[in-house]
Amino acid sequence: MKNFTKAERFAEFLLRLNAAPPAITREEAFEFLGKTLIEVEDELTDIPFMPENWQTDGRMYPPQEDSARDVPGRSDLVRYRSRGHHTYIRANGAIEVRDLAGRVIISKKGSDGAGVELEG
Amino acid sequence: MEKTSQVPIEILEKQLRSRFPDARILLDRPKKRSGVWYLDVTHDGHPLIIQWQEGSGFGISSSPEHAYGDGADEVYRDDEAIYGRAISLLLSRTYTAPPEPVRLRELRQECGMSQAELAVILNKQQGEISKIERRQDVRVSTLRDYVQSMGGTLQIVASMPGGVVRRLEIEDAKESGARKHAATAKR
Repeated sequence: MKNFTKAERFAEFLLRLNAAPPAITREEAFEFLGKTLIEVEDELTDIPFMPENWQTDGRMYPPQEDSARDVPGRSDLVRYRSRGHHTYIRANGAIEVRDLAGRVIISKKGSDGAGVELEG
Repeated sequence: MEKTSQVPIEILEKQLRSRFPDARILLDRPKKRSGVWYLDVTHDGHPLIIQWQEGSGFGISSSPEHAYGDGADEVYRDDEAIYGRAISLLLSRTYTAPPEPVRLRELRQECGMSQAELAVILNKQQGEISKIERRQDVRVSTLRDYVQSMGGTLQIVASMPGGVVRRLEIEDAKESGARKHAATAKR
């Protein structure tokens, strides 16, 4: 029985995300984000990975391509919407997660040293 | 130019705007029409998040905090049911809660069914339903029939070492019996 809280699992996810070298492309960053979250959840919870279920099961799921949105005026940026967050991934591999109020939760620079660089 | 029809969450948006003219309502459209749509509603400071996708129905959550990657607290297939639930949450200013494990008796009561009604559907005595609900070890076929009689589907998942998760397919005793019978009749 794995008894890690969601906060502890999220902290581990952040640790691994920040420890990794920056991604070079948007696709690489998207894949790395998803792979890291799935690995953390597989290791620290007993909750099976069932992303097809919409109802929450206590597990954290990474963004999927069907939740993508364009960002007006930013062809280099894709926004992935989830229940309580926006995950931004830039063409340079930068990642930024904000809550719905706009507070930055995660920020990781891309391969060129630049972040997502959202206005506001 | 061809006019595309509204998807159900756009209709819901209109209904909620009409019902709550002072609410802050924002429709978050996906890149592709087949993607996941979101409707963010705040009424009198109370938040509501509704999501929709073709084939998946509606998800609804009302909570002061959300963990990263959380799914919806409640799921509805029916357009009227989601509208009713949204109104109820906004007027009562209550929060939704993630689903908790539920006992058979509680599941039946949530579906608004009595033991007697279930007994009729399952062609059993009411006392047998009571025994099933109190039993600590239930046959899979009994459990499947019980859940199906309320319109649900039973799923069994095996969580294996190394993080491997497989959905189990249990041989249906009735179908298996029918196949054996058909094979015997052919001989």
